[in-house]
Amino acid sequence: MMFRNLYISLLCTLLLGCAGAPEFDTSGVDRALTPQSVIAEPDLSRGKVALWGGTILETRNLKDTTQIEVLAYPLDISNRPMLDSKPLGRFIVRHPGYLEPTTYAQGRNLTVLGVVSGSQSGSVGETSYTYPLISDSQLHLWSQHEGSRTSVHFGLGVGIGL
Amino acid sequence: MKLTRAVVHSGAVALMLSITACSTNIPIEISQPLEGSPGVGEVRNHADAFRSTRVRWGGVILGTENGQDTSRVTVVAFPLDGDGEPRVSDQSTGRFIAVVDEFLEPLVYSRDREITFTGRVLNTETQDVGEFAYEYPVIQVEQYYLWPEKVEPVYVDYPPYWWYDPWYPYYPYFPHHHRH
Repeated sequence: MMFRNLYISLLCTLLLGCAGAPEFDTSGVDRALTPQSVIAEPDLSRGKVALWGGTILETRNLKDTTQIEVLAYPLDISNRPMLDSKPLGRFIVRHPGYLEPTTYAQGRNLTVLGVVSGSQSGSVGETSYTYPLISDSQLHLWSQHEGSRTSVHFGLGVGIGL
Repeated sequence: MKLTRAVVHSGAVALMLSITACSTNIPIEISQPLEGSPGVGEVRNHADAFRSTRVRWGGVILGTENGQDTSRVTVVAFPLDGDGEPRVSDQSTGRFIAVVDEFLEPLVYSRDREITFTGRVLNTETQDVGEFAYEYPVIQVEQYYLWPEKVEPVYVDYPPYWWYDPWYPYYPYFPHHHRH
């Protein structure tokens, strides 16, 4: 009986260990939407639901919102940004209230589900840049230790017995 | 008889090892849970109600400022584990400021180090984080413990054995000729 409990708790731990990928409600998501396409057609894009992800460039705490500037990458099957791919442009997540900037730190990767709410102009160096704005309804920060590649390798081996 | 003695000996060795492992200088107030200690968020929202309440809080240091007779440590708080050590994650419980009545070397009590305090709630203080007016609970510190820096594990991919010695599998049987 004791062993059975132990076994069950061990199993639960193992299962929890694998439950890394978050659930996003992707029903209304326009998969064709990218930061670049939003900038190209701002009026058509406003109000559409986007699922974007990438690497945090900067987190700014404003009076009653937090703005996270992100460099977007295409998402993989579990909606994690693929950092080996070509970036899709920058965007800004506008989150109501305070987010801890040392947690939402530069270099962390996130995926956001939200509504395209407009654009904001800024600059990268001396180049003026238009950032699409997205109001998040779900924000997922990826763990620092999980890369974009799986660490499990499958191999096929041939053995010869003599 | 011999076997029993061996068992006793190994037991004694194990005991000594475990005693050595435990003999750190963590103050008991730090390593033991403090009953009734409110959370950082609770104190931020109801500062007056918690004035002078004893707390046991810990987290990651953002910075240490040295005043005339005091040091002020700004901390991003996290829940504490069974030993009172902060369990750092993406779910911070908020920021706080700890006032210590002595000089703390800012190069040691530096950004990203983990620390745990016990103390009493003094008040709250508003400081800007970016443009956000953040209300920091301030505590007067009684005990504190700076956790040792964690050494990042280094994983080395050793080359296969034949990299070192191509004769390895034959080694015991392979005669080595010394030319002279």
